[in-house]
Amino acid sequence: MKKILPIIIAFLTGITILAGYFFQDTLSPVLRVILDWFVLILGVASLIGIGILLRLHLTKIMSNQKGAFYSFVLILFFLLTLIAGFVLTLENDFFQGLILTVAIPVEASFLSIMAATMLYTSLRFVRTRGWTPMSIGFLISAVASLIFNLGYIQAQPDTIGAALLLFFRRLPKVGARGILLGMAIGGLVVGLRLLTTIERPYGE
Amino acid sequence: MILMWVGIAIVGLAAILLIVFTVLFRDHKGYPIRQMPKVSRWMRAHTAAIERQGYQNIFLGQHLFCPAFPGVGYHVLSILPTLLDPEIAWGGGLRVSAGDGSLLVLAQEIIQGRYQDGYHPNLNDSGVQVHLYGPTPISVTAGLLPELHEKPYHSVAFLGVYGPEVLTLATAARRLGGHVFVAAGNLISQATLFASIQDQLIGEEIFMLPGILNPKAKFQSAMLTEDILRIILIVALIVLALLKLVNLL
Repeated sequence: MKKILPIIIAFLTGITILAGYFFQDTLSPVLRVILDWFVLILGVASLIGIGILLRLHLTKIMSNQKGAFYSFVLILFFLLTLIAGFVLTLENDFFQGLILTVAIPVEASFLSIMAATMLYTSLRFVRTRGWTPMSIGFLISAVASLIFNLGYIQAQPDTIGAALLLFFRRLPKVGARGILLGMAIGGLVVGLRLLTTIERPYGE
Repeated sequence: MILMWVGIAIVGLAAILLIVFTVLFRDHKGYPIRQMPKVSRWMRAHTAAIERQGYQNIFLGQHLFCPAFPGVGYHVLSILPTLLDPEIAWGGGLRVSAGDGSLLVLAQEIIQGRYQDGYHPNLNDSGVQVHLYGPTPISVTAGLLPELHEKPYHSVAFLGVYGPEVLTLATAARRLGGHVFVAAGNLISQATLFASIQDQLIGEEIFMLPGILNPKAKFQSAMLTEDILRIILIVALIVLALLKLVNLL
């Protein structure tokens, strides 16, 4: 029973969610309840995860490990933000301003580091991959896509040039769509593996 | 209405194929598994890390559930059991980490279940540790980057859903001498990492990973089903494009 019950629950929930995609009008009240449960469980699991994070940093402080000071700063600001969030609520302008004042500069500096890393890796691309048909194709398509999407190259409407330009501008989207279709098939089969209980990570 | 029935037909066909092939492959008459040099290199790095007592990190991604790519988070969790060798405790250790508390809690359940199935109970705590670097992409980067410098990993695997920030982490891990393997399940991270990481799975390849790591009947049947669906899709796209070309659609 201990092993069968999770299988039955997983199967029934999965089949209801799947049927809900096709018969939305009939099953929407049931779907809403299941999704609420899902959000609730996900929220509790996230809280447990944060608990694990705090325990880890507390252990670091207690045992005076390397980086204990950073752990102290993390816990201090975590508690301050938590208390401020409860007292002032998320709608409070001062609280929102406080968060954004920290978040925006941090995110901006992080993005600038990332842009530099991306430029550096692009320059080292051939050294990483070598001169292969794949790397040459990637380089040509990346450069061509950059040029065509800058907007400097224009063509007269209803000419072969305009059609070609549109074709080259659409090419990256076509590639992305191909990858997405492949991933959709993969995702479908993973879902069905769980739904048909061929795979049971929760019971292994 | 027609689209709805087409959808039901595809899902129904996939389910039937999956069940039929799973039953057929139970007698070990499996579907030949393709070899992927990228995965082989990762597995060699994984084994070498155990032999040389090096640290390993398997990062499960930033989200358990991503609306644009549903199923990727769960798929990553299904890969995890195949990577939990009993010998890990004898090596430098394995850290299973994530940027989402729920992902980590489920991973911990899987790890405990795996080691309770017959391994020595001490192997769980000493060999495999779960770790949450932070609940947001920036906090994960802030948590993992210094750790990569302090304790360079022999092998780092990035599985699951990420944003472009994964580039900073993957580049740092590779620069510090670790083997980096990526099976990221969304387009942004795949595109960001393509130029810098050699051993990266793209598109549907990530869903083939469990079958390559562990050629059991259930994974072989999934691979064959995926292949058949892919061929049907290609044929349908070509036929529909031709019909549109001759103005029949």
